[in-house]
Amino acid sequence: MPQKTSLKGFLSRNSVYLMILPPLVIAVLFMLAPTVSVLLLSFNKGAGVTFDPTRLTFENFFAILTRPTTYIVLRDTLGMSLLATFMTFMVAFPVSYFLAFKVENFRLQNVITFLLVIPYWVDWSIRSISWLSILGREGIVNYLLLSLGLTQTPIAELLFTRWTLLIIWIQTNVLFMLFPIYLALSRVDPELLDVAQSLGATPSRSFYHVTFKLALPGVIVGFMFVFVSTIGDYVTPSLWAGGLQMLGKTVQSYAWLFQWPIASAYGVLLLAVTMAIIYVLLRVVNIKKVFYE
Amino acid sequence: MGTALKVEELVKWYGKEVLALDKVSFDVEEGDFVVIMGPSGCGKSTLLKCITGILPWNEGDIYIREKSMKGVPAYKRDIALMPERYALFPHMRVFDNVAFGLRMRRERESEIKKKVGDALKMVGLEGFEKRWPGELSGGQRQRVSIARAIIVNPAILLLDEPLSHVDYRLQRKMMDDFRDLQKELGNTWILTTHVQEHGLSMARTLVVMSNAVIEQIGTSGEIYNNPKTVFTARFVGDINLINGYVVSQKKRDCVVKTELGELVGTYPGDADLKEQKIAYGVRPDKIQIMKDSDAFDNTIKAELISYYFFGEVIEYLFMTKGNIELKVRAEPAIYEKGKTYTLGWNAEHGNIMDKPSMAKGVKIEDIIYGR
Repeated sequence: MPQKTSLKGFLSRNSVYLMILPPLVIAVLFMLAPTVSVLLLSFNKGAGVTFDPTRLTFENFFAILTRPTTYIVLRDTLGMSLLATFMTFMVAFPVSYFLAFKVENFRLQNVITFLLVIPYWVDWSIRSISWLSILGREGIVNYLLLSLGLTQTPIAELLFTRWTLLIIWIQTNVLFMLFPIYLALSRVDPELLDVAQSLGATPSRSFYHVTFKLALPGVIVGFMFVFVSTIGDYVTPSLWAGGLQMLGKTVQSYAWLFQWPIASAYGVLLLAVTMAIIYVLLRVVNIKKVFYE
Repeated sequence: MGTALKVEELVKWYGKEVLALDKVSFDVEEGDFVVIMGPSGCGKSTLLKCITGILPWNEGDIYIREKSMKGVPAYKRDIALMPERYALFPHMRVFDNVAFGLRMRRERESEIKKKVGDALKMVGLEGFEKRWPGELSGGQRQRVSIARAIIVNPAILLLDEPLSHVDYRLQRKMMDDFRDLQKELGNTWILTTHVQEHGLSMARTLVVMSNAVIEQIGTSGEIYNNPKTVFTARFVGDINLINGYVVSQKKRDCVVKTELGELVGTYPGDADLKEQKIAYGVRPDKIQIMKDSDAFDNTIKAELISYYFFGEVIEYLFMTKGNIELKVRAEPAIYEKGKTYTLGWNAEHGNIMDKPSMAKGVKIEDIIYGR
């Protein structure tokens, strides 16, 4: 039987592949290609921005991994990012719990959700700048401390410390933690808690064994969102963290000096650490269970 | 045998408008199989939730094995609940679902393993330990739910509408299984249903509820044969109802004046009904289509207008002179439409009811005509 070779036949036979072609092109072009180029550059000698296959080397990794500062920066970056993620969780979980279980009116739930989203209409930089008026030398906190007589002179250290960074990270990321947890919690059937209690579970044990366990996939998703977006962040630390050095900032500063291969090596290190942590997280919880049944 | 459960004048309000339980009182013997039956919204689920301890009540008290449950949280009560939609923990395998109650009681894992195996065997789900709830059929989920409840050996097992989500064939089998299981375990079971057939066939003690009150408590036979209220008469089985008033009363035997003339019937209570408005009822299966030799306390001439085939029985619809319809259920026989026959029944099958319902504010006429 002769094969149909018309264009129409070709199109209809391969329609599925053709339909995923545009997003595939975009994904390769804008996500995969830069990552691969960074990976390649990190194994390249010299300072050029183009990859030269004749000059492969492990020099860059050797250089960054033998510097003691790398480990200090890595420790601070991981520490701050994990702490911020954990603190975000501590803020987001009670709010999501309240929304999912205590606000029974569905419309009120929507209104509260809507109010929570409003601050996200402005750019994060504007949102974070608003902290100046709260934590600044003439900000609200200093004003209160002064008028209560708790301090004689305004405290300058409220801004530009690692704690400022922490607060701003929590504020700019809290919804990315809140919504996945809320989604998971709102799918928890309250009847499960009734059954758990009738079977002898105290409120705290039924919370842990049922509510929290069922919310865990949402917690993990939120954890990933916040962790990934803080660990690679270099703008917020540059603006608010005082002199605290972060891995993202290191990458940026080498790129600023056109030291592309070293910058790339730091970038690869950052990527490797992030992926390792996410791998561990995914081993702990089956993410598919967020959408169980 | 002691009392497993005592409910005393229980009152439950939802907000200020909705009265869900209005001074509900009843006792349950140890080892009884109780079915609470009533239309949806009658308060039976609320009652179950109060007994479980997941819902506080306003007045009255509940005693489990003679201990007051006032202020006792659910996890300290000797009960287990099987809710309507089974409520299996979706994040736990079958084994962990069934083991939940024992783990909360901090039993040893070796002991738990043995008991879970036994419980799953009892409900016929051996080898299902590793399955997830999402991988089970509706019937299997229900059996896991039962295993999870019986494993803690509760004084009282509460089952909320356990048959409403399984198909008809399975319902019959489940009813048998429930009774066998209860007999084997020997503890007290209380279940609710809105399907009268389930209540009648399963219950050792039947509790009929309507609008926040208990209508009647008794065996299936007592309630079917001697309903105390019009509500019960209509909810449990089918009945022909006629308005009337009592002409004379001699203890339980009454003569009633109705639109069908004077009829004799039996009154299960002991109030004086003379000159009172009552409802006269007779079950379709108690009326006979008379042959010449028969003799009955009540006889009525009526025209056969139609019939419905129900398998072993046929429901005949008769029309009397005063345009009152009478349903008669009998074995199939040849009767002609349009011909007039004589119908008869005895005084013991004429149910005289002086109350439309135990709920307040319902008129006897309201409940006979319409609704």
